[in-house]
Amino acid sequence: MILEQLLLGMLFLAGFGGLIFCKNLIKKVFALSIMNSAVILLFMVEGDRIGKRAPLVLDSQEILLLQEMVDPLPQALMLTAVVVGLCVTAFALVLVYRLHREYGTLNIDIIYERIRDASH
Amino acid sequence: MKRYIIGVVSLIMIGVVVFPIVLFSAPWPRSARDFLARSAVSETGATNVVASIYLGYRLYDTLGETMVLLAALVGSVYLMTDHGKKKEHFPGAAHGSFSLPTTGENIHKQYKRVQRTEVLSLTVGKLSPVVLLFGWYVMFFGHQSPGGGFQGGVVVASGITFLLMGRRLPQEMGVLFQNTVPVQRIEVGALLAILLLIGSGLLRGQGFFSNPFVGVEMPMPVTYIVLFNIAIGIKVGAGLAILMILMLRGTVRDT
Repeated sequence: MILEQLLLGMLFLAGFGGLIFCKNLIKKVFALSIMNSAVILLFMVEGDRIGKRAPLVLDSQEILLLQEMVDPLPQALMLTAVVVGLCVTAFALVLVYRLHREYGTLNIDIIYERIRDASH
Repeated sequence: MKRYIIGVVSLIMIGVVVFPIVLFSAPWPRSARDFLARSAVSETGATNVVASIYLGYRLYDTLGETMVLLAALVGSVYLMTDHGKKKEHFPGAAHGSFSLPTTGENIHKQYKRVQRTEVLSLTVGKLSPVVLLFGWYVMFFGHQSPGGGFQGGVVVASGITFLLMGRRLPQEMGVLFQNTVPVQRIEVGALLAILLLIGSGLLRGQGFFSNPFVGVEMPMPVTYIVLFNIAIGIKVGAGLAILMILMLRGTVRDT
């Protein structure tokens, strides 16, 4: 358990590092997506603390087996997070596309320079 | 150099904030799981408890999710198709390798210019029927197996993307995906179906978001979840297909 948690924390930090250090805007969008995935996976990992079986209630199941089911609530909530993450990624990519069409580059530093030059 | 130091410092600070949250070890509550395991099937009919949550107990959340998707889609489509003022001051602007086809007249010329290997085109073309079939399966069986409307819709949208990227698109399909109007109509129809399903509880004297198929004379409450999964799947699939069509070979006039 502690190993998964550590790995997910590092995954989140990797995404944040990508957001800081990458100059390419597409890579920044990827980094946002990685951070989103880390949070979602953290909820998945935490939800199966009280059981390991998939949250499917089949007819043949005994009530004892139901006590080994994972918590379905984080999974249902993370469905929302997945959809919103997808929306954010798509919208960010479209914004990057517009920036590229305006300024001809994906490098954030060059875009800043060109905005500064254009405003003078 | 100064920039990297600032980056590392902020990374460490975020780590200090994040790791105590990530590494928590409080006991996870069991009451919600036990309640759902006991009563989800009898109350909603879905053997997949996750489906019974997001289409039964938390249906309002799903409606909000659908609206978020719609809002993101509308914004993306607007930004993709709206030209604004064309600026040609900078080298590479609007005609770099990243630029997408934007005018309806020269779709084919632009489309051929996109670099694409033979292996990729052939593979995705052959894979697309399988992916589409799997998407429909995930959508229709979301109430009793892992899956559901959102997941199935995304798989269907990737199948449509494969179809568009494939080597030979059949003529009829090409007409269907020439512009986004047919797919937009499908999406609007699916949204209308979702709204009707949300209000369908009113017919039996219940409130919004209530399952009208629960009752003694109607022994199949899962019908509601299946219908909802299909409507959401079609809406999500059509919405993402619109984005993919625009990104692959968008037209301006028809959107």
